[in-house]
Amino acid sequence: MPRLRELQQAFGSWLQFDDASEIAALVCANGLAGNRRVQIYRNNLLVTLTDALRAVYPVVEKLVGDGFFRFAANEFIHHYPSRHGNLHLFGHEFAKFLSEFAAAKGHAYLPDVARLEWAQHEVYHAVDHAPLAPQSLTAIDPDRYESLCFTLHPARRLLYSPYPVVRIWEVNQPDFDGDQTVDLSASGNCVLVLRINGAIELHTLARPEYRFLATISEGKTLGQAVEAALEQHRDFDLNHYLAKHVQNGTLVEFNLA
Amino acid sequence: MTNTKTLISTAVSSLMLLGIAGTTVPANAADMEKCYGVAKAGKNDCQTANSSCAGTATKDAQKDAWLFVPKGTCEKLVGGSSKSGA
Repeated sequence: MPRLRELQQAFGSWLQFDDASEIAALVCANGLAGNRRVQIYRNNLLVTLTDALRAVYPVVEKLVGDGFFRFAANEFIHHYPSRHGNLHLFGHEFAKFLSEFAAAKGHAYLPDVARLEWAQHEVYHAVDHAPLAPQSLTAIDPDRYESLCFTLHPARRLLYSPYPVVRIWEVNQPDFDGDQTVDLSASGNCVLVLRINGAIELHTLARPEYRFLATISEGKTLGQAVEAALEQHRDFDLNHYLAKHVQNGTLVEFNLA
Repeated sequence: MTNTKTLISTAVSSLMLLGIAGTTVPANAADMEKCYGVAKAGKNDCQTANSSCAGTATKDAQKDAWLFVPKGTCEKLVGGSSKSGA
């Protein structure tokens, strides 16, 4: 008689498609043989996880079609099983998986579309945060402004793609009724994914603006972020972009390095 | 770099004059309620007719060879699909 822990491990490895698992032999028949009963469980898991992926990656699904998506999801679930009790955390490696998935090789933009959808998923569920009160900056010695480190709102994600991912995403929305043709050789996108009053928005950023925010999000100082932006463009308009991202609630806290 | 220092000094100072009232008010209670009331299909409705039926097959899901080729709107993406995702 196996211990409870061994039973659970056998069941767990069966759920992860280990057919050498002996769980089937340990399940009582009850109208159906033991192996068929555990298969029902596993198939339900497969369906649940596939639906979870569908919910997060509707544009990827639309791009490749239902059949291919199910095939890809099936492969993904075999290679990246759910590791959390929370289904919302499942599926973040889908972009990585797609980038390595031989059957999707001719579609190099797919992983970036998946990253964009995962970013939206994370932003949708991220905690809220109060905006920055600019008056609180009066406590900082002006000589130390360069050493300010700003924090991004939890419901913000930055993403760069060499492909026009925003356009790809837009033309694949259910309510889009224009021309779905996308020129993949069009320039790539720097994107800020943000949540405003509960709704997800995609803002395309200028490249220096993107460098500026990306550097800040790495925990670097305002001085370093400005240098990085100036490297992209000598006339980077700091006044404008700093004010913009405090006003839209992207920069929410600060401390001194 | 002095130039950078001046830029930053000006930008941070003008930030304090900004007065951002109104633009970044957190979502009001009603909006939040609306937002969090929306549950994406497949996420927390595991007992829908669809998923409870679809998963009850006692045979493992088959891999169909014809599924290997993407057949969606990706056909509308032209001019550079072989570009590697650097």
